[in-house]
Amino acid sequence: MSKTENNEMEIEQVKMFSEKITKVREELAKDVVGQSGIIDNVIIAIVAGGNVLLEGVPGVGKTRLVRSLGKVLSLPFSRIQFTPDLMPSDVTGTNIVEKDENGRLQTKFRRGPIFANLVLADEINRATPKTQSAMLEVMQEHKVTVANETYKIEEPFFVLATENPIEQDGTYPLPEAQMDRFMFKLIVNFPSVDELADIVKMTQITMAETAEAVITGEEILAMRALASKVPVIDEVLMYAVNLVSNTHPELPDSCASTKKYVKYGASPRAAQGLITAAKVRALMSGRYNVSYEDINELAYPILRHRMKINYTAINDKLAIDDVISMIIKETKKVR
Amino acid sequence: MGKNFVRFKRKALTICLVKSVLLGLAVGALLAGGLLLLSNFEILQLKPIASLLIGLGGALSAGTGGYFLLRSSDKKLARRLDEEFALQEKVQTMLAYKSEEGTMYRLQREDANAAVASVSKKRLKWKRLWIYIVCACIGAGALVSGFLIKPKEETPPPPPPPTAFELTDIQAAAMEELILYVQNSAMQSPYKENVATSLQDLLAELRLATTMEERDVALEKAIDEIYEQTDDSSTAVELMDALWMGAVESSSVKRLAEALNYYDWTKADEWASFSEEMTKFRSSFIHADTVTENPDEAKMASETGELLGGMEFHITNALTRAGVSSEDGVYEQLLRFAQAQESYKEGGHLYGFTPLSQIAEIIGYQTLQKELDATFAGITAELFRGLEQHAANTGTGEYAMTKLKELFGCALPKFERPNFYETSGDDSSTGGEDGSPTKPVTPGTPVYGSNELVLDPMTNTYVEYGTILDKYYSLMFGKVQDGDYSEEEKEAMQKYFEILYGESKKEGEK
Repeated sequence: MSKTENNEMEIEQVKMFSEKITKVREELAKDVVGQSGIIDNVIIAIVAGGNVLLEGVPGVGKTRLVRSLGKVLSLPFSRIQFTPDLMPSDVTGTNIVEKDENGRLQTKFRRGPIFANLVLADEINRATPKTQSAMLEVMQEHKVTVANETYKIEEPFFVLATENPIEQDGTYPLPEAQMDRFMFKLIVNFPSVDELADIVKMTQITMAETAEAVITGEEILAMRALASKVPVIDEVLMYAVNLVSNTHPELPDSCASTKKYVKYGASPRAAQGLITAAKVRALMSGRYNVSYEDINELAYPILRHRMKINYTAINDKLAIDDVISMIIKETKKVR
Repeated sequence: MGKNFVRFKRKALTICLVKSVLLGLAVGALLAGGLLLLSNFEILQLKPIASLLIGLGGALSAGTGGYFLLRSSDKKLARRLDEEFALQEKVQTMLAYKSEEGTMYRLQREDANAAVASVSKKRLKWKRLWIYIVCACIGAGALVSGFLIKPKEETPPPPPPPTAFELTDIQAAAMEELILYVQNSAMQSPYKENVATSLQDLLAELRLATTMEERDVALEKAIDEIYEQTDDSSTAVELMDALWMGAVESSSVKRLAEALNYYDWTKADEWASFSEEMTKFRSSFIHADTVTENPDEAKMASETGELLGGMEFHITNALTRAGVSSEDGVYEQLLRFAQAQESYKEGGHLYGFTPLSQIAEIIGYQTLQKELDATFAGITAELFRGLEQHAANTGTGEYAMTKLKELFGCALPKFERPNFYETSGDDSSTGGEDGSPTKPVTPGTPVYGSNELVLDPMTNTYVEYGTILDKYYSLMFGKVQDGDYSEEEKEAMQKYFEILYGESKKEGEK
């Protein structure tokens, strides 16, 4: 392929990127009323190749959003309803004994629901840590190991998990290692009155999702590759790095708010996620470069589940997003 | 780099140049104005053209420095455009990847160019331009002030109106008291009378004076007169010459000449030679034991030598302290009186112990010793009496002038008065080149030799000179009464004792 042809193809990909994103938004809007910010962030995570944890009270449309997304993406979709008695093998699959054509017994691996491109881990915090841990390998490495056999999962692969912040009885908080494997943690807020009215009206007609498939797995992979080419200047890159570093109270140069309110800070995955997601966000915004604004906007979903505030913050009635705002304010831009 | 960015770059350069020029003008004008002002008020000695040239130099330096400080690099300008126009780091990214190839970079550059193009060049603000304008105005103001503001020429104050003067009773009484003080002082005539007359004239004038000016004129005149009177007697060399002339006419110097009449003065034509000869003379006595076998003679000779040494020291010391530098004159006087003695033989050379022992045989050893001692005492007493007189003269005059100042509150006229008592700082006993005294003579200084003891060979104890002289005189008087001496001898003895006692004693005897 010549250089000119390659350029033209890339220009086409850029055009396609915008079109596809617009279509995905439009299709999702058919099933999900409002929540445009959540939808955009979910799209960003999907294009960037990250997992998303959706947190919200029951009935705000978390599951519906993910189900609609499964339809829109035109990808194999599976849903795992996490319950306390769910076993790891219920997630990953297991070896079973069965007879072959000749009547001889043999073991055969039966794939679990994790073997899909889009996995909805509904109410993930209701499963035991043992079962939750079964997700670690697949979420990070996109492969499953059962009985010393490793099975690779087809790309693209995403886990979209939901959790309920209210009902804490019989739940198991996600371990930090697993939390870190979610690129975003999105807070799904209760809809506004107008949105609620629209929801009621819409569900009077049908409860089923009406969204149609508009994007394939290959297209998502192509969009990811395209987004990775978005240039980032050193100043913005260093700003993102400093922002993540500033969440660590043990570091001497961290900002005052961190030292006062943060118990522990975000992992390096946060910095990686910030830049990766910022590139996608830039392209989605019709820009071809990453800006400080991208970093600042994405800092909340990327950092809020990776760092923990201390009792001083709780005592001062500060939520994690408040502390993140303070850190953003105190992080200086690199000159 | 897009042409739109270049557009802003030109604008930024213009802003930088304008600010640099304003800064240069401000600094230059401020510098020149400041220097002009300082020169106007004579704090600095600079010509106006020099101040302007320095200001010009300052303007060029500040302008150049300002340009380099204020100019924006492409990176700075890109950051500024992104921040001021919310271009979301498009320009910075464009600049950072301006030479990168690839579709994404090209699209980014196009996007950034479009973003920059959408911003009007006029929106690039002249940040803080007003500060530079204000600075330039201040500089211009300073420059104008430098040309306009000159120090006010000081006009002499108007002469004060004449003030009235009237001699008070207290002032008149004090003046009369002062006149009485001068009249009763130990000041030498005719200075005392002259000073008293001046004061009386002043009192008369002050009684008639009606203004302060008249008072001051009268006072100045009186003080000048008093100073002249006091100053007439205060030249140290003249004073001491005069004193010495008086001293050599006295019997004391005659006695000294008698005692030294055997000395070959013709050989001593300088003061240094005098000292040298004196030393030789003394040595001959001190070493008399080498030329005589008589132990008594040797002892006497040695003591006489010591006495001569002491006399030399005393004379030298007294003359030096009195500031007499004309040693030749001293010598000549001594020689003149030596030659006047009958016993003096011109060209006669007398060496060693023998001649003096002959003198001792004639007049007696003790007599000789006392004679030498008293001669010195007489000279020094004369000298110090003179000094005391001098102190009385100057002290009285100064007292009178100081009193006048106290009475009328006016300043004494400036004059140079040689202070006879002032210490020159040189502690050596030799005189200075100008003959001025180098050792202080203050009241109460003992007169050397006046109270020295002499050895009485009969009792072998030291007794006062006066006592032993009286004793000898009584012995002689008894022998004269007894008729032991001829008339010629009697007359010689009488004359001799008259010389020894001096005029005062003789008068007392009479």
